Amino acid sequence: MAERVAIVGVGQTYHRSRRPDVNQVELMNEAVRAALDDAQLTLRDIDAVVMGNMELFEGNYLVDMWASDGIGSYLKPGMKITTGGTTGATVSCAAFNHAASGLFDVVLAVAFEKQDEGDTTAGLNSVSDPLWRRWIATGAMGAFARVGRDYIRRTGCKEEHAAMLRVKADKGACRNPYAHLKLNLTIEDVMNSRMLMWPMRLLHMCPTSVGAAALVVASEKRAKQITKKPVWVKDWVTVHEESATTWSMVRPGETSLEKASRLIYQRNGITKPAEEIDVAEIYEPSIWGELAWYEQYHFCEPGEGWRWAEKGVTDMEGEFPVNPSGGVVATNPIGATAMIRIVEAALQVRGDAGEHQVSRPVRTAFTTAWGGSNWTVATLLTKSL
Amino acid sequence: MTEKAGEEFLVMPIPLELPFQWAAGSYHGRTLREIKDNNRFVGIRCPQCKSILFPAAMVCPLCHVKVGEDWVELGEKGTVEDFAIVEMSVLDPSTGKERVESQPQAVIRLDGGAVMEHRLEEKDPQKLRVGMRVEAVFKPEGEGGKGDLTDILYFRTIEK
Repeated sequence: MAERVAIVGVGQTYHRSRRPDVNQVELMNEAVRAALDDAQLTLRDIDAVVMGNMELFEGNYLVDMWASDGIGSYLKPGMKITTGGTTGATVSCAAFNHAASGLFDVVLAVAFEKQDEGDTTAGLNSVSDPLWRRWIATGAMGAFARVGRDYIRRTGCKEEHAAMLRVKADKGACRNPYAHLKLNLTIEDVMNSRMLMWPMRLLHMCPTSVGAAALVVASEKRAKQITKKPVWVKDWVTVHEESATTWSMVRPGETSLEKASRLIYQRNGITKPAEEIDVAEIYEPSIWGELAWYEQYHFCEPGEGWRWAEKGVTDMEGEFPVNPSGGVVATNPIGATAMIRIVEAALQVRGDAGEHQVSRPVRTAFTTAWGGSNWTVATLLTKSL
Repeated sequence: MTEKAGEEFLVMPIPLELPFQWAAGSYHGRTLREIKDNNRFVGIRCPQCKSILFPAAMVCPLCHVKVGEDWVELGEKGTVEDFAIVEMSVLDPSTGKERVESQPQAVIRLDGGAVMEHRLEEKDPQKLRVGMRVEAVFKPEGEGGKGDLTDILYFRTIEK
């Protein structure tokens, strides 16, 4: 029987375009100190450290060796994990697993990216099958432009709907002290931004950010000693999808987004996610992903996502708030991005999100991560056990 | 003394040149060799689920069984399922150089059943549509086929 696990401390850096004032290790250390301060612990209390980033964005292999001083892993057990866009969530899951195993009481999870130090699209194109698709790949922009085209053709959605969700994201980001892009956008701003590849415009896409995030995770007994407001990690799921090699085949069945969310709902008795979950922090590298994926997470019926955008269902004050933090389109230090979803969801559960705290009372929060070769990670955080 | 904000912080340039060479393996390799030498697309059929693997692969990813020798010609004609005009350049991780996609990219369903990504000859947005019929144009013999997908120049529109 696995131990129950809680998040007892969260931390993140202020996310920016460039941070030449700190090196990679110092950037990680900012998030680590923030999370330890939040938990009111020191490195002495930490039993194991898990970290991750996307190596090819900085061109630095086994960064965990260099990082040791900044993340406090010296003479401690731990591991480094790289799983593309899901990295921050996979690192978090590894920390949950460490604590749930009963082998470690308090585990630190750290994730970062310093995208000002390399070329993100070159890094992402190297994810494509090197023998078949790399030569023509256009990174996340190409992938999400296709998501947008498919969604428009299938549902009758218009470009305005993407702009509505982008403005919603910006409103959240403007209230979030840590967010990267705070642009005070209008629908027109979004619709007039530069076309990258139809229907993808510059403002539909996430920025390249520099930032780090950290979590302190503890077993049930220690969690109750450490804090009065533990955020319980009720469940977590990781699902992989096709390899890029088999991209040309149509796989039968669900996508990884559909399966991960279905599994976590089923295992926790959730039958109406948008009613039973109070807030979601989802991983949308492009606003087209958010539009197209509401239905894949079973929040709404197929083709209903753009109507939700019109009605403001997922606004901060809406019936089912999604990404009150401003989400990935506002802030994307890739390795850390999926952990930021969990950090932000934990703040919502604690009621500590400040100006971007949603109006609906939060007892249950749902987070996702997406990336790599179409992996999805889903987590469910709760206020009480 | 620490550097102050407002001063130019020092950054270390890393002009990496780090070549790799990837084995294609005998199955994927045959698909590439057939394009280069014989200007045709071949995949292989899974003995269990009968799916066509294109590029050919040693093991069916759906059934996890080893394929036999049931090679299938897919034809050089197909139908455009999706296309995109790329209005930005990307840094190519295989060359370290900026790549400008000056021709539209397309997802093409070959008449033999498999799907592949390549470029279209037609650049006029008014003449591009989902469902248009296209055929592969291969690099002429003697122009140095490389054994990769650039041995296909592009797909051109089949005039009715």
